[in-house]
Amino acid sequence: MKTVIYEGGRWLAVLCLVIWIITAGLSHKISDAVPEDVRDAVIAVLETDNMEEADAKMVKRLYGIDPAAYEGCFLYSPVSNMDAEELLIVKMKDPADADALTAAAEARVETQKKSFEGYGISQYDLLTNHCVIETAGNYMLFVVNQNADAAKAAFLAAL
Amino acid sequence: MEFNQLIFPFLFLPASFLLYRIVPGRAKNICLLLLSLLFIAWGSVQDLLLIVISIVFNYFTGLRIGAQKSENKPKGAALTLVTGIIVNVLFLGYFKYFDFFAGNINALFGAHLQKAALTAPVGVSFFTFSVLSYLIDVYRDDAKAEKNVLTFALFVTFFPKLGSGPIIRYKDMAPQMHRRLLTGEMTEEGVRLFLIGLFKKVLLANQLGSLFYPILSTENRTALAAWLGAVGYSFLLYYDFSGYSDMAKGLGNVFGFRLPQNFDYPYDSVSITDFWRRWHASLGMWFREYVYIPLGGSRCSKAKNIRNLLAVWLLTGVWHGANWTFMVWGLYHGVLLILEKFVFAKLLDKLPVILRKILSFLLVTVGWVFFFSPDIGAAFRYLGSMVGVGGGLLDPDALYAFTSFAVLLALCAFFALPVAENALKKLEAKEPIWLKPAEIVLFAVLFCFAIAAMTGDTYVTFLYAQF
Repeated sequence: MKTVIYEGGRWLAVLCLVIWIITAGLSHKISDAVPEDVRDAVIAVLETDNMEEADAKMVKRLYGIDPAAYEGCFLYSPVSNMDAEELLIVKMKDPADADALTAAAEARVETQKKSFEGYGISQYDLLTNHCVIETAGNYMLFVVNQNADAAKAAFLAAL
Repeated sequence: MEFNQLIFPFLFLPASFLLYRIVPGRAKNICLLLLSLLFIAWGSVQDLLLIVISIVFNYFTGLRIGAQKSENKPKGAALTLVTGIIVNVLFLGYFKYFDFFAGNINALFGAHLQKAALTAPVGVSFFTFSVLSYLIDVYRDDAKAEKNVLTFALFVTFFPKLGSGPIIRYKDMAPQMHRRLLTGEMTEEGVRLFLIGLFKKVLLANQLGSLFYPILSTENRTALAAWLGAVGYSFLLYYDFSGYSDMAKGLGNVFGFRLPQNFDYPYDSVSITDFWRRWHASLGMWFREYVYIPLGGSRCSKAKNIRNLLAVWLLTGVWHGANWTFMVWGLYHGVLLILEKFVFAKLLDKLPVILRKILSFLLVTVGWVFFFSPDIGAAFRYLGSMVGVGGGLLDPDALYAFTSFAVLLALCAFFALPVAENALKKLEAKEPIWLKPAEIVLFAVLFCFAIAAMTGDTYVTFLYAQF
């Protein structure tokens, strides 16, 4: 009886691991979605009044990353220094870049929080409570917006 | 959550300690286990799930091996052990090395294997090696299989050692899990060690990052800049990792555990052999006990001894990460140890101790270039710049960096030697009445500085957490 329990316990754990690997593999699958389509799907659910499309120089300045290193990269940055709304969507060539992009987005949030700490109460609230950093396979989303959760849902649905 | 995040010293640690002291004796292990699971889940619920799967598998594997041994079925026990090792190695390999292998297969054969882009569970290399040592010890009859799943789970997840070790063998931790004393002296020593670790990490290692990372990202660095960067990294890695180890050991003390010493002034070593006795000693112990000695160790022919050393050091390199640079770094140390043992032993014995120490430090520092470089090409370019190739010898920026960081580097060099500790021991032997209050004030000041630095800086993760 003990043998059955011990062997059963061991292989049940292995089975759980295999199931996890398969489901994790599916959730990390590489998406063929066109970056512009993903961007349009996300933009459609966002309040865009306080954001404007930015160029590659701005991406480098704000995140320290080179847009040319990715398959697609779109940044909508705050219109003025008094705005905190922001959107970054990146399609990676190598999904292993996800950690570096996440770190860049986190650093950006920290910088913005320091800028608004103490006086920009609504901006600080956006950065704290309405900020999403999400990676899924070869795509990464960073959004600071009142509708950040809706943006995340649209982003995942578009992949 | 990591030890150097404000939430840890100000919320998690005091709350854990209070709770631990309140609960009665028998429930203390359960209390620690729940705290450890919370610690993991705080970082990632997914990590918690994977660690629980590993615990369940290894718990039943240990029991199965123990049962087969007691039923006098050595072949069955050996088979269970082998399957246990294979599953654990595949578990570790999948999370740490899958993308590395996929990338290399794609490059070699033009295949299109998709990378998994997985995030490895916290401390995967450390807890996998701990459970491997458990299974092997049970098979060798060096330890009894743990029947209580909660005690076994605590052995795997105990939060002070989970993230970056030290790697502790089950047979060393088991007696402490079943019976331990928590004295005021242990708590005091634990707090002291924790604060020393915090000081090393926040006030030394993190500050050295401002010297090292800009130099690493420079294209045409001069020899002075390259050496400044390499020496800076030597200290950065030491204070980062030994800082973590001090904190882990201190936290172990706070909860009544004696965790092994991982560092013993490695930059005061007189040889590379000596260095590896003092640097990450728990990993060295693991490879010696479970790989080097089973392969035959040094009690065999010279050729086999060399093979054993190279095998161990290749594996040590592989353990550190999925990159060719780590393998080269491991083999570099393996070759140095072989040369030291078989070629230059007599010559080294004749050198003055101070020269041997400087030589050891320089060789280790050169080795770190492979450790911190993103690829082999970058490592050789960096080594080239250390001898003036590409950027010349001196430049104003490097001179400015040198003058700016000279005090910090001097402090780092001073604390890397046992001078202060030896002086303190001599002083303690005389038992002056002012020593205790002075120590309390000193540690309070250090704590305040560390907290100020933690508040002002962006949070910097521990380097060894990635391994």
